[in-house]
Amino acid sequence: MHISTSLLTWIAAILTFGIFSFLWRDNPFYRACEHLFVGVSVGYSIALTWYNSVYPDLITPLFRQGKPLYIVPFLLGLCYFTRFIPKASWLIRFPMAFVMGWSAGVAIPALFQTYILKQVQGTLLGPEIFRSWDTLVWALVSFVGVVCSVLYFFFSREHRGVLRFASGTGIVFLMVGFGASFGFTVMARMSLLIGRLQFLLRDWLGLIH
Amino acid sequence: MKFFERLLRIDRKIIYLLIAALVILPLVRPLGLGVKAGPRARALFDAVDAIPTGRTLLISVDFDPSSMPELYPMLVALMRHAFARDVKVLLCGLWITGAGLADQAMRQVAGEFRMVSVVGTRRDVAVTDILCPVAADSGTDVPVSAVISNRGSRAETAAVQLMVLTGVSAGRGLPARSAQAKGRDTLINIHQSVGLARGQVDTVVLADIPTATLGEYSIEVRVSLPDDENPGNDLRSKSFRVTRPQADGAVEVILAPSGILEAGLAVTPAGLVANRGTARAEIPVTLRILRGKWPTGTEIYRQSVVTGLGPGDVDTVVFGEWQVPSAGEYQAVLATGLPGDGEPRNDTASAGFAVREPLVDAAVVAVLSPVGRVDSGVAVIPRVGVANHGSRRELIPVSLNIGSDRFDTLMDVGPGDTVMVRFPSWLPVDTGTLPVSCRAVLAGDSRNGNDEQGESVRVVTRVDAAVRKLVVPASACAGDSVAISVVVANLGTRAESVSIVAAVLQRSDTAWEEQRTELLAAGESKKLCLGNWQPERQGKYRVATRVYLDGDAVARNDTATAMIPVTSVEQKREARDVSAVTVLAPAGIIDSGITVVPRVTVTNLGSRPESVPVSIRIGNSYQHDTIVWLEPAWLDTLIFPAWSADSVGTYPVLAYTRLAGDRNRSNDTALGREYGRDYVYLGWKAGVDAVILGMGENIKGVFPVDYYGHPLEQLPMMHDVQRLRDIPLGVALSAGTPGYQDWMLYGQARYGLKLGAGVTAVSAADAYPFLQSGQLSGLLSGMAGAAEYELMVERAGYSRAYKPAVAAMDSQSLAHVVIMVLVIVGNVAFFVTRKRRA
Repeated sequence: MHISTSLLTWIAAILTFGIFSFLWRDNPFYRACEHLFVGVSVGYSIALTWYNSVYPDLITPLFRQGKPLYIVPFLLGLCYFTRFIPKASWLIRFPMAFVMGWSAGVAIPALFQTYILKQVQGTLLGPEIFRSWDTLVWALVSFVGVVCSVLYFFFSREHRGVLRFASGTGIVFLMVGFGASFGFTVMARMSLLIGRLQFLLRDWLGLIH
Repeated sequence: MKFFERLLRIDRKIIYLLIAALVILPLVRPLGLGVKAGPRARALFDAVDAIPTGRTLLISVDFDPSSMPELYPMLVALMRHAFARDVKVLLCGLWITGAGLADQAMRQVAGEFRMVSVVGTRRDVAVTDILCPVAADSGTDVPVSAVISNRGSRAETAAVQLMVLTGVSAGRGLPARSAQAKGRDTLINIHQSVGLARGQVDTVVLADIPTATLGEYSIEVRVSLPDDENPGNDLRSKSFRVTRPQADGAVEVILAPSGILEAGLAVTPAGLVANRGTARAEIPVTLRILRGKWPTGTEIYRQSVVTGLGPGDVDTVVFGEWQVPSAGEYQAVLATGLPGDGEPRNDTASAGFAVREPLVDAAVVAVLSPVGRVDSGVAVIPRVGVANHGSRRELIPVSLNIGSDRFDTLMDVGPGDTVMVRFPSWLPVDTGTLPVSCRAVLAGDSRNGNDEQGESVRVVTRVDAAVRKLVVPASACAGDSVAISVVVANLGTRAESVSIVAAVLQRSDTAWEEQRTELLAAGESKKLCLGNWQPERQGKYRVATRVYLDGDAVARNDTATAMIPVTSVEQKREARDVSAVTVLAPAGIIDSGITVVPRVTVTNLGSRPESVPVSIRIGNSYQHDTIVWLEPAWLDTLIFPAWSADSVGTYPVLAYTRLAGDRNRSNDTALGREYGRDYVYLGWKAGVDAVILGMGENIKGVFPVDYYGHPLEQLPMMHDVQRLRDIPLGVALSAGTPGYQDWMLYGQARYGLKLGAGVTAVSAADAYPFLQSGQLSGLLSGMAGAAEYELMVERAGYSRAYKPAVAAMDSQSLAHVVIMVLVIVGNVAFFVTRKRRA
């Protein structure tokens, strides 16, 4: 056992216990740690935004390098702060309109390519699925799952007969998907717990190597 | 019932404590449950492994400290993999609060690779498989072998124990102690030792087991090694069943006669016969041939032979030659007659075949050459395709007419074959269109419509002169005499007088010019020295040359250009600079006891060839010197005598050049991976989609400086990485949005970035469709994915560093089991108590 002599490790260990104390009940120690976390995160984000984005990408070119065109994004950015002035709050529409228009123009073709064309292509039954029996089976399962799950969300006709059977199969696939997501979520939460306990046992107490 | 009600009211704090205890226990005392690399992690590992040495891996750090246990080990393992393979690493981030994590990981891994750390050895020997049949006849000896693998980090000698037990129930092997406790008979209990090198897998022949009694035999193989770190893989069991011998002679297939035969042919009847019994047998085999259908046809051939076959053997049985009679329908019947045959259904096979009269038919399939357009004066090999559609081998007379020229030959062609006939070369002289016809006729040819084919050929002349090569030095010095030569060729079909012009230009000024006229025969290529040019001052000069010929048919091969950088006399004298670039090995964390071949890359940045003394030092115990010859701009990897990592510890590794007169001493020493040359961290920048799109066009435009404020222009690694297309693979380690989906949307869809991903377990299910569609080249899912990658990095010998994700997997597995049990118990309790309440 080699207990850490680093002050930062001790602070991290104490704050970890502070957060874990919520499992017993809500208490001032937990709330102090929570508020500290929020405060540090926001402060860190503001500092990083200033030094990594605002200063090198706006202040430097506009005021130090004398590039006048940068006044446009500077003014658009300032318009966001008019939210705090009720009489001038309508000015926020300019940056919002700019961002929405730019984002939509850039995102729509990329979204269509990534989430629709490529995904449909991946679901289609091509000749490569016949390479072995397992690729064939999984491709068919995937294909049936996609079709039935989509049919479950088809509301223009009453779900009777074949449509009822198909949408029922779709529910099964959806449930399997939800189950998989839940399983992965359990794994994720356990990973976080293990990570913290590894820190306490290894970095702080030096019990494991 | 009260028990279930109590279960439902149990205090959740008890469950928390239970889970915490079950997580802590395997961390302190590992259970050895093991981790196996899955196909998704393997795909990402292979993709990183496929990056060429010296190219760049982009890692996007898109997570914050709350996802650290899952994604941080992935980041570290990826960087170790890249560094060990001499792949450069470019880090950036889309998550503002993750900026510090990337910096931390980079410092950690770069620190590991700045020196070499030798750690203690790992000891693990495993029984991978037992090789024996699943069934055997009583009275025979069953050979048993075991596949033993050394998964540790050094050579080992392990003890192997074989135990054979009789009277065990089918399909189940029992541990030795329990088997003996239940009164099983121990037939064999032997020990032997096996020596295995690091990573070696060997098949050990253990014993031949006598099988006197019927029933199940259980085999257990155990390896023993002091301090084995993974005892879970030391024992393996298998069983086989011993039965009475069985007799079964079977006909597999009739090989001949079959299909369609020609009358008059001599056929050797044959068939495949198998012994499917469990003992060797002498099997009598009879072949009969009937005219008409079996069994009503008339028998015209009958012959019997006896063949001796071992159990499971298959043999070809050949009978006496048979002369095929007149056309008609026939039947062949092959039968075995083994006394006491246990399976009579497979003793006989029959097959029908037909006999027809012979067919004679030769055909010209195609006239291949000369057709279309040919150049006058260029010899052509006439070629035609001829087929024998008949039923026997024929000597086919083939004649070809091109205009007034005639060619004749005889071709030996098998039945059903098509051959290409080549005639002696034909030289077109007169221009114009000529008829080309080919004829192949056989005596008694049954079809005359395919005996002849006709085409036409147009004879033309071609005019084409070309510059094949511009021969100039790669660089020159002011005042030097620079020879300018050019290789020109006459690609036309007649002799031509070709004009050649060459000029040296600086911007729009002409510094030198020369013109020459040369007579070149058809097809001739000649190197011409156009003269010497003496540059007066330094600068970049462009040399351009062009050939002129009236009626030239091809213009794109008429010019050639080259650049000549000219340095000043002072520059030439001063430009002596060699550099030790990187220590490729040893670096990182390695096992003790292994041998490493030290490798160092050195380069000549000067302007003249140098003989460079290079030295490497590892700790205080190893030093070696060598001399390498380097031309300007050459990069070479030097290999030194092997270094043995005997003692545990951390050693600095230093490589340096010692060139007298070197003008730049700052780059003479290499210490392992260096910032700016082997890895760069760009940091975080606001505006996810704009950042990725900007990186697709120009990385320096988005990140003019790196995370630490260095201008990207000053970082050597970024000279070769200008945009996303210069990066062979990107890996996004994402805890959500923004993350790998944004890289897919903008980096991949728009700039074709090949992408892999590491995600938290929560978002793993969402990433699977992208893996199936091929949009992701590999996927690491949560802590399990990180553990798989860590394991592959270690198995490949890239690093022996501590593996936090692997260490956590026992806790993970145990916690999952407990949660599953709690879910089941909770549901049972709920339904039982609900029934009571109702």
